[in-house]
Amino acid sequence: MAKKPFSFQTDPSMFEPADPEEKKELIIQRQSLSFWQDSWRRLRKNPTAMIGLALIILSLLFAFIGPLIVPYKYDEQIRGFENLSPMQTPQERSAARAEVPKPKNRSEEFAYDFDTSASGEKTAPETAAVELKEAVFPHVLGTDSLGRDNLVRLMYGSRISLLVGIIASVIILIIGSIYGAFSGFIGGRTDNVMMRILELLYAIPDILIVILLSIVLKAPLSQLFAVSPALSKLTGIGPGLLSMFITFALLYWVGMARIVRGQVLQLKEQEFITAAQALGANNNRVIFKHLLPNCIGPIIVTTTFQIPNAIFVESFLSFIGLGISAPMASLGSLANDAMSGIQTYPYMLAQPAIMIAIIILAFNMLGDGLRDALDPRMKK
Amino acid sequence: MTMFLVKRVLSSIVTLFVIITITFFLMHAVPGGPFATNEKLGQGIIKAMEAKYGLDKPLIQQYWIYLKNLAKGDLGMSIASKEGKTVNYIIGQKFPVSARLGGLAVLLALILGLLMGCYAALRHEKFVDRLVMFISTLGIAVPSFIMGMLLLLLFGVALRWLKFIGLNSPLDYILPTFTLAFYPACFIARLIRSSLLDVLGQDYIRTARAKGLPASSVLIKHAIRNAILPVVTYLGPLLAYVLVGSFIVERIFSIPGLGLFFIQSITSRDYPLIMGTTIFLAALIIFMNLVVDLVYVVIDPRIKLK
Repeated sequence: MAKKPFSFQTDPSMFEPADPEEKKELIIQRQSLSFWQDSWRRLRKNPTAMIGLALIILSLLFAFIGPLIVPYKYDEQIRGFENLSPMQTPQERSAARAEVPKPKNRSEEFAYDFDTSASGEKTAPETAAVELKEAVFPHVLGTDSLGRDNLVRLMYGSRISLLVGIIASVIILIIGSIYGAFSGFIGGRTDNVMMRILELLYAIPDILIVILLSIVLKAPLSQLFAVSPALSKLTGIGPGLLSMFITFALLYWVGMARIVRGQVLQLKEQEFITAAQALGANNNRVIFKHLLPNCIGPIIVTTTFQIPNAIFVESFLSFIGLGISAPMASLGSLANDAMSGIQTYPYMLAQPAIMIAIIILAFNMLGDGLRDALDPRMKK
Repeated sequence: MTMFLVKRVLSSIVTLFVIITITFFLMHAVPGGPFATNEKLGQGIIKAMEAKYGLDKPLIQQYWIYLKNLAKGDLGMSIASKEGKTVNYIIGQKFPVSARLGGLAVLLALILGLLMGCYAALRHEKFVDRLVMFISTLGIAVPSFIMGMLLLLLFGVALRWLKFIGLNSPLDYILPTFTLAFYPACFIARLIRSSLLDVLGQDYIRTARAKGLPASSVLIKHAIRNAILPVVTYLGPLLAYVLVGSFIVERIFSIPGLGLFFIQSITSRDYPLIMGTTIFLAALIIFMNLVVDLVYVVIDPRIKLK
């Protein structure tokens, strides 16, 4: 029966039961997301953060997988291959030098002859092995003044810098969050004293003390490592790195502790903490099971920003001649070595400089994205 | 106000005292002492040298003597310099070079930062704003010494426009000053941009516009005056940054200032000089932080005095 226009008569088709598909369309509730899924979803939408993440993964691959592919070692000195520019072979360099008019100075001529004879000193199989590697894998970034492959040294340098960044941040994470959580949770006079200590540490110009600590710790730690070689084998780090971790553990957790304390002060008044305490949980359980897991967002964001900071401090120290000791290299010590030959071999300075810039930029980009994704309230 | 002043000065003195103590005991905890590395010296000479510099006395007594000398402003003798110069003399010689460079850098950072920040805020969400934000993100993320190296490679080595060793002509100041100023300029630009955006949305700016003031006077007299407050708080950290940054910049550009000398004294294990320089720089930073705090209270009456 057709419905007449303007009539108030109800349309019976509107009262037919809905079929299952129609019912499904009406459910507007979306799938529930966990905290991590939700953060990841937000992070994925942020192109800057994703570029940062991609750069970090690439540099991790470069630092940890790269040395397995390149056939040279970081301390392998190949004679006759000193100071090659990128992609150059010694034969090409000899050819290039031959075109230059012969030096008039007698001693220079001698040096030149010595240079070419150096590679001839090698026994036949050794030269063959070097040439085989050379054929398979040229010195993509050239070699340094001792005939070491720059690409491999750059990879090991990035590895050290990344390791320092990550391990130092974990140390900061552990010390800072525990200190901050206890200070905030216990409160009262304990909190007051702990915060005074923190303020004092905060007022100290940190780089000056870091430099002093590195000087002071270098000698005893070197002795320690000389006495027990098993220690360095066990941990895989040298005295320079260990002293750096100690300085980080002593000084840099202040920021983390402040942030965690602030979070804990907010959280500890909430009902779920009272509930946990009513159920008989002791302080340790409340802090580690209830308070800290709820601070996870700010903690992760702060840690991500600590990594480039630690990498910066490490390369700063290595650049002024403290920190890591030869033949191991970090990006800072590579830059330091390259400073002396800046006019002749500028690319040797450019390589570690660009690498540090990329790594630090990438972590900062990811950190910004994580801050927006994990803790939307912090967004400016 | 007096209460605040006293409290603030006292806490600065305590911090300085802690730094002096840490520095002293750290430097004396190094095994071997400053003369141990020189193998040419005999035992007798080492004893005589230690007696000369007072290193044979018990540690606590040495500490007391050091504190007493420090109270008189005497930082002791430099061990590595052959002519027996005092640390005070060396700092007096080297610090003006660093201070001139640092002062120029602070000035450049303020000017550049203010210009970039204001321009970005006035062109909010437009191309200039995006450009400034991009540059400042880059400038904050990339450490200054990397920036210095890249600038050096570009202008000094590749293009050969500028010399990069020493400070002999006014042109030599360009690269080091810019290197030192770039990071703080970016930081200030961001600070100014966000606080200016905040201020420009306030009612009193609308009032100023409504009563017919020209745009320039609204900006300069009403907006920037209020937006500049966060920059004042940043001046303390800025100074610390410039002092520490001079270590690196002076090393990169071979500038004979206190920073370069400090790095060299690390390798020559000149303990009195390392201690003296550390305490001098720390005192300078703490003092500037104190001044900035006081200035901040004076120029912003809204700050509550605790």
